[in-house]
Amino acid sequence: MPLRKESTEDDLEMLSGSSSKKTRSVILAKAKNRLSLVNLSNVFTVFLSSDRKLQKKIVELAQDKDSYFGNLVRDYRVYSLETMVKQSSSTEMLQEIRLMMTQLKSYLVQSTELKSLIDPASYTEEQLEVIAETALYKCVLKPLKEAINSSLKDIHTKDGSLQQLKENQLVIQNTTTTDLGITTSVPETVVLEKILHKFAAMHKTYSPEKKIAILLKTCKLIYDSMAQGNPGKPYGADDFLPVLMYVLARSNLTEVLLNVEYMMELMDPALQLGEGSYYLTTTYGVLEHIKNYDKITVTRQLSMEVQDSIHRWERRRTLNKARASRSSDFICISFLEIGGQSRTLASRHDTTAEQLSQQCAEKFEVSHPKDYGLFVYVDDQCLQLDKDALPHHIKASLLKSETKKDFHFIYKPIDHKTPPVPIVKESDFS
Amino acid sequence: CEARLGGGCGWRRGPARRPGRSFSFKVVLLGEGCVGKTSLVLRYCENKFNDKHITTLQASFLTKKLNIGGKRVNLAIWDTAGQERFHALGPIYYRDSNGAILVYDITDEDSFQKVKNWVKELRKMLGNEICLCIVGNKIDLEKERHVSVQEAETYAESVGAKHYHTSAKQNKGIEELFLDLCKRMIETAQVDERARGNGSSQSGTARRGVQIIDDEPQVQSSGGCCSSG
Repeated sequence: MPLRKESTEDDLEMLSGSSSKKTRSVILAKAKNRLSLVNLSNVFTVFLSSDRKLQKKIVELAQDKDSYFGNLVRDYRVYSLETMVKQSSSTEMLQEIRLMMTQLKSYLVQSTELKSLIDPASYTEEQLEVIAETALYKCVLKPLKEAINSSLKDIHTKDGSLQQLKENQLVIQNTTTTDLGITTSVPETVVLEKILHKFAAMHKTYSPEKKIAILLKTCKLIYDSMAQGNPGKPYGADDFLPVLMYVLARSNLTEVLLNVEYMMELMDPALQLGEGSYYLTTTYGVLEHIKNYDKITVTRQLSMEVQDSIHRWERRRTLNKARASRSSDFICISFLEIGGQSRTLASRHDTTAEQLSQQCAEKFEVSHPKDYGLFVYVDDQCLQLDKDALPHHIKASLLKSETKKDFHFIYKPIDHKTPPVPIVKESDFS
Repeated sequence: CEARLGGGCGWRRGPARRPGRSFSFKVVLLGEGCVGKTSLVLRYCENKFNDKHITTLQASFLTKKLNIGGKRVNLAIWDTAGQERFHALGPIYYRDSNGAILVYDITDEDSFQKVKNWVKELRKMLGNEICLCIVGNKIDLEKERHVSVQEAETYAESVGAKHYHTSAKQNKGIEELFLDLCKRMIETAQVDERARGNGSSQSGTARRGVQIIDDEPQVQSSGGCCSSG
């Protein structure tokens, strides 16, 4: 393949920059090994040690409670955990998370916080995006993964998908390979076990990209088994799909379903044309086929689910396109006192204190919103926000302040005591 | 220092539609089992690069890089399962395709009927922006022809598709088919690009359903909160 040929050359070029010849050949051997093993992609990004270091720095920044980015990431995680349990659509739930990640990434890539970590001239924006994407897997998806999976499981228990898969799984297991439309060999027990082992590893990892890499490895194993007794014959989709169905029917379908959705919705939207995307689509297709196995044999009509999938993909693309025009941010507000019940609210940058108070009134379910107001405690000083003040700007200003400020936003009753609480309107805390 | 696979799922689509720059196209391969779609695409992708060929994940997904008059083209070719039982999965493969290659076997009248069904479905679902190629394969078996050349060509013309005669076995007509398809997709992409530039993007981009809904989030977030719960 010309593309692949060129990718390899690119790697050589990039790698020739490294100092020791020995290291270079080791890396090259590894790279070649991976290529022949999985032959992943057309864009073959080699992470140099400097990239890894930057990735690590971004993860550290995300964990730094005093950094603006760290606050964004933390607020976002809280927000996601809160909203996740209320979603009834798996796609919408995951797309919401992907949208937030895309927003975090686009903030980070343009931020002064990142620029202070690197020499901006040494990276293109695209390189930075790739590094930031990987870092975000670690600081966003890793902590959310378990919660995401259990929400997905709940959703699919409720919508009946898991039950449908389970019932048809048995039917397919008891169908002969001929009736499944298989014309080649199928994986033997040993290979099948290897494949199931890979699926288990896929379920454990949190990075959508790593999951896809594992998926491709399993596909490779399947192709290898198909070629038993007929080596060298290349197989197309006609041959592959039925065998994949045979394999999936012998796997943990619940986990496969969860993983497929996770990958489809959370992978970098910039990568929707490649080999990984193809095999992901195919796996998704086979799952749909299994789910509707009994019906499809009766009618060749598009299942509602499959039709719906088109709309979902379009929605995803729309959401990601829209990211630039939508600039919401998070703010954490405690009820009544510091350390009290608190909520992370998402709202536009230009939301006023008055609008945010309305949100708080709903969230904290207060009966007389007029008696309540928004306050900010800055280093133990209490300030009331003017109704036209902009909380996000105040927050940003506090975060940027040269001397580190301890601050908390509080939603509480307005007390009319003397001397009156100072009112803040402008956002200058530097 | 370790080598690592980054873009695990393919090349980036990116800003790839400007003239003089590179284009990334997705082409979906449709047709009944046994009409030879796999051989066709294998023939096309393997031919020139045998020497440096790295073992791939078989023939279901193939890529090819071309240079047409200074324009770089990345082709991703998505094969589909042709068996009737998998028909319902079509949409998940052909969504977002720039082109479709619909293959029939000239010795099999029924496979030509299947192509007609696909044309109907594609036009209904994707409209006119997708470039359609109808391909009569196995012309090495001319003696056993059951689909008349004239009928096939007239049909193709009537639905705005181009017709090609190929033989994967003898490597005939394949290079032309793909070259021609690429030129048409470039043209479509450029028309699309220009239309978008002029701000009159309705017909061109409606299919992808992306740009036209661009201002939706603003409406949604006018209340100040982007979540309902």
